Amino acid sequence: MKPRDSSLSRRELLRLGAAAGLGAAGLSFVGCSRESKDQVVVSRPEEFQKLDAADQFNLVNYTLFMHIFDTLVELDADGKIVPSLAESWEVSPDGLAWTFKLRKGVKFHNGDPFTSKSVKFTLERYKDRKLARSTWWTELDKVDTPDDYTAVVRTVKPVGPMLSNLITPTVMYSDKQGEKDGPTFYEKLIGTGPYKFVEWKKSERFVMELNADHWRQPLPKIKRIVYRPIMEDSTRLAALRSGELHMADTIPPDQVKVLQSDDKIQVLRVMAWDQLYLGLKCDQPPFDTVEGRQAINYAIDRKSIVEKIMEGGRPAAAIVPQGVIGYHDGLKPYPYDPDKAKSLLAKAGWKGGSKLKFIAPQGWYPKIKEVTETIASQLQAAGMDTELTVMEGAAFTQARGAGNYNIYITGGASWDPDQMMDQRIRNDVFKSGYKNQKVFDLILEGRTSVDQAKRAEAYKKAQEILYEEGSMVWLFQMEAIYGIRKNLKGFTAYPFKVWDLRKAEIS
Amino acid sequence: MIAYIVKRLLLSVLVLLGVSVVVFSLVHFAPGDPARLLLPDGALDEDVAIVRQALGLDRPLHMQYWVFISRAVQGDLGRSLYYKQPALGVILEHLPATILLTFSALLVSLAVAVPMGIVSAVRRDSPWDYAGMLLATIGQATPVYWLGLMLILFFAVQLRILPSSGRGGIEHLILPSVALGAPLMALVTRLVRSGMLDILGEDYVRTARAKGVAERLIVLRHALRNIMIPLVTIVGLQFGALLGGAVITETVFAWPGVGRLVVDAITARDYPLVQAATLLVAGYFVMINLILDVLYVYLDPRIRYA
Repeated sequence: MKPRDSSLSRRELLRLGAAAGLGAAGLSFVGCSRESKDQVVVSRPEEFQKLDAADQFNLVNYTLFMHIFDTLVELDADGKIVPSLAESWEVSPDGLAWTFKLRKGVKFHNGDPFTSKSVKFTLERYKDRKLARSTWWTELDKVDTPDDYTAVVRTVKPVGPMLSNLITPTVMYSDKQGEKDGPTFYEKLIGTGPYKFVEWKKSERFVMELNADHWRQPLPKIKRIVYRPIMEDSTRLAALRSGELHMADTIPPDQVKVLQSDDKIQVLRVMAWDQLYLGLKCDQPPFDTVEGRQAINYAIDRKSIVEKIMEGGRPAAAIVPQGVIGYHDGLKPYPYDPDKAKSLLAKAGWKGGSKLKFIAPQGWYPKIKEVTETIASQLQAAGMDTELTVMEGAAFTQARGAGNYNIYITGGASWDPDQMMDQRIRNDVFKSGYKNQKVFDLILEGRTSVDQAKRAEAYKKAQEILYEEGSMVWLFQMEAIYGIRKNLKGFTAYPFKVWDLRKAEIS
Repeated sequence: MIAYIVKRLLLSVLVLLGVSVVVFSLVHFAPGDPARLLLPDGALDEDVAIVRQALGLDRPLHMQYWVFISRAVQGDLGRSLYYKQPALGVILEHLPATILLTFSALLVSLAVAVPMGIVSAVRRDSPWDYAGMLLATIGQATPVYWLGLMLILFFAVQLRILPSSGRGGIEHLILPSVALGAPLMALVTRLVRSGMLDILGEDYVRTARAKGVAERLIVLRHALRNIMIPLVTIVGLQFGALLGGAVITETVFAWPGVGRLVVDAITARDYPLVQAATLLVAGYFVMINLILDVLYVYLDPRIRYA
């Protein structure tokens, strides 16, 4: 009796197994990557979050908006400002009026014409200080529209970084549709760009398709771009290796070797305009003296961190990275000299004893734990005991914003010195307590001068003083690392961590 | 029966109210300021203050709770600070993916565990039994996160027969369901096996055998039915764990569900979204438990007539 019964259940089991096997086999060709020359699938560990370009600052939004919209001017891959919707521009002698000559015959995806009224509509919105990007436009007065293809941007003070502020994400919106729709307009993503918005499934995919009517010829070759947010590094890498992705952004440095061993994938490393630094509490010992601040600058072995932990990047000396206006090539990173650090620390009157509060944000930068632990041990060797806390991002921003630290670590990514220097030094948003009127004046001069050569000079002078006084510890310039399948050609990655598929194709 | 369900539903409202207080306090007392996170890193304090005021975050906490709960009762769960869209809508976009994943994991784990448990019990100490128990031990001891990555590496990168991540056709559902369902599968296998072994030694089973009832019928009709009660209990208790595991599984497989959404919302201190999502997920959990309790009554006449 027994054998017969169990053979039956076993048969059932077999049947089940066979069904499952068939199922898997049937699915296998579906699961495989759909190779197509028309579609590119890309990923970055960041969710596309907000539809209004004026109200966000995510890099992925900048990147995707760059394909759907156009801006008045653009940065090219070398970091030079080039015309886009504005064909030419000039600034009045008093620096208060910027006249832009606009490209003719440009149409929005819904057919509306792009005119000076669009520029007025777009820019004057930024006067609403609730918008995240309004901080760039505090000096904006109004935009005049003498004719359809001339826009005059008037400011109450001269704005030095005007052109830098006009690149992504300051994308041009349709005044006609915008005025008709009200706030819901920004959810539609109607631009003038080479791609049209198709769909956004939150946490899943963002899709756009080629706009065959785009003014710039020749048109991009890729018909359809799919963006997938994949937060987990291992999964993003796996999806690249399995062929589901053409490009994976933000490759962890220690995974580069894995990708290089795959002959269908190439690794692209771009030195980004993004430098990691230590902010110091300059109104508390030991960093309330120049000697104390120089001491910490000498105490850190930047080279070994770059080589052994980051496996890439470049030791940094000052706030403006190479390639950005105002970069000072005369300043070299502080050399590693723990003995000098010790003697400077003694001069500063620091006897040790109490622990310095060292805070770091979790997950904001690759290898942040390893980097900060190494720094903490180097500081200890030079006579500075620290209490290192790697904390959750939101808690970190609160502690840092309240000046509740001796040392904090943060990155600074920007394409104009004004963005970082005005905010972090002159306005001292992170409450470092550093004061030097001469530096503040120079930063203000850079902000309010429309002569770019003069600006560069002011920023250089400011950096010389900052370097000498060791007000911040510039650690290293970070690399942006991309994994790309070799059949994707013409992928462009800019140093400001935004990438571009407009000239890409699949071979 | 109806009175019982109504009573349970009223209790659920109390549970949800309690959940709302706890979640509201947790998110508001956690360090971090949503206004600061909504602006670029390094925004001026005065700009942060403007945004705080616009969001009503400058008001006393009890007032903020009152605004939240009085609107919630009317079905308005507030607007997500990050997405700038109604929180309920954002969650409803994500909830189906989570429901699909948890149910599919449940199904996969039961479909494997129940037959495996039965075979292990009926063929006790056979290779079938050993294999089943080995699988159960592995399933219980393996972290979901690690198992998920291994499945991706093997089936997506090496064999290339299944997609690594994301949502799509049914093929996208297989790996995350297996990863999420593995611990439950292990638990249920052991439960079915030990339950079966107990029952197969019972007097009524011996009587049935003596009557000459086919062994297959004894197993499927007499024994299996008696496993149902503990099985439903365990599945009910484990459903919370399944939802918790979904957070990890959704992250590993880039599955667009509520779990991942909530983690991101917590990071961004998106108070309305965290509150709304927690309430809805709690509601989902409460509802599942209610259904299971009703199922009990149906499965066991002794409860029905007591």
